[in-house]
Amino acid sequence: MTILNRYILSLAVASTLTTVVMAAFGEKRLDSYFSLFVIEYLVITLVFAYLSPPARRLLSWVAVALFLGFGALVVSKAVQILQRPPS
Amino acid sequence: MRSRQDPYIRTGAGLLLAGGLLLPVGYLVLHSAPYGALGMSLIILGAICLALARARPPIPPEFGRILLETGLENTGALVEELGLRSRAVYLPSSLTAGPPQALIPLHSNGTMPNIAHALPKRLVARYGPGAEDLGLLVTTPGSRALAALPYPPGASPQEAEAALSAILVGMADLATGVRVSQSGPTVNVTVFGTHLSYAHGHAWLHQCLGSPIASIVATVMAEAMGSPLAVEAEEVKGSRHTITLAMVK
Repeated sequence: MTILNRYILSLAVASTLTTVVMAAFGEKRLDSYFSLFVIEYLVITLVFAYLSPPARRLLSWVAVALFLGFGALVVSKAVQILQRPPS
Repeated sequence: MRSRQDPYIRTGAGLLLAGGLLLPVGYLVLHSAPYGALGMSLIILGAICLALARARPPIPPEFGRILLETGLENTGALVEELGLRSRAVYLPSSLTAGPPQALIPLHSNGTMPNIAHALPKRLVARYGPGAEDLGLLVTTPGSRALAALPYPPGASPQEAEAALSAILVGMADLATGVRVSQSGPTVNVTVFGTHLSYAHGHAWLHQCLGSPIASIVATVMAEAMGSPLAVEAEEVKGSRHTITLAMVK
């Protein structure tokens, strides 16, 4: 199995396990799942440190897209908190 | 441009489509966060597959293997025809007129050649003042692989290990790990999970240059240490390949 296939398989296994475990715990917030997927992606990409330079360059664009998604989640949460009426 | 038949593109497009359908249906219609999350993970995996499709080597691995075999056959035939039996000395780029290369002495008296100056860029190169100080200067797979590294390999065992891992694990996908240790003039390199067959014919060539993996390791280590090296011994136990290199004084 090539290193690229091992990398994709690791991500697929990690994201499936995360979904199953979090569903078993009754998690209903989609942003929690997304945050964990982003963390898994960053950790597994770091573990596969010896991917070829072109692959790393292209994966960094995926990381930017995921980070932007994560940033949008954080901003929306912050807006929700700020708009909440004072108790 | 990549073909639509590329398995990474087909898998990526399929995952994106499945995820794009599952996310809204699961989260908005079925009101199920796990289904929505599954759709989201499929979209992420699809995007990764599409990105990696552009990172795959332009030459298919099978064709690359054919080219490697052809190159080995040709070099092996040349070495066999000339009746060369002496072990090659792997030279760093500071001792050649270009990338690191391997020198196979045409005449061997049991001692390794002493190379003090950069050799000219020729197939048959003179490395000493003696009449018999001639050798074949050949380019090895490691010479080409080094050129693709974004940085030159460092001299410490850790830096050399990082360069070897980048080539053997990341670039060539020939192994799963590398360990380098040095004791005096001897360098021991252990390559884990090797996929390349050791005794794949070319016995004559292996005697001169070592196995293809040993050849790559010796080229990278010679460049890292800035010193000529020779493959002293090789041992294969399962998928673990141990290579002993000796500095040539």
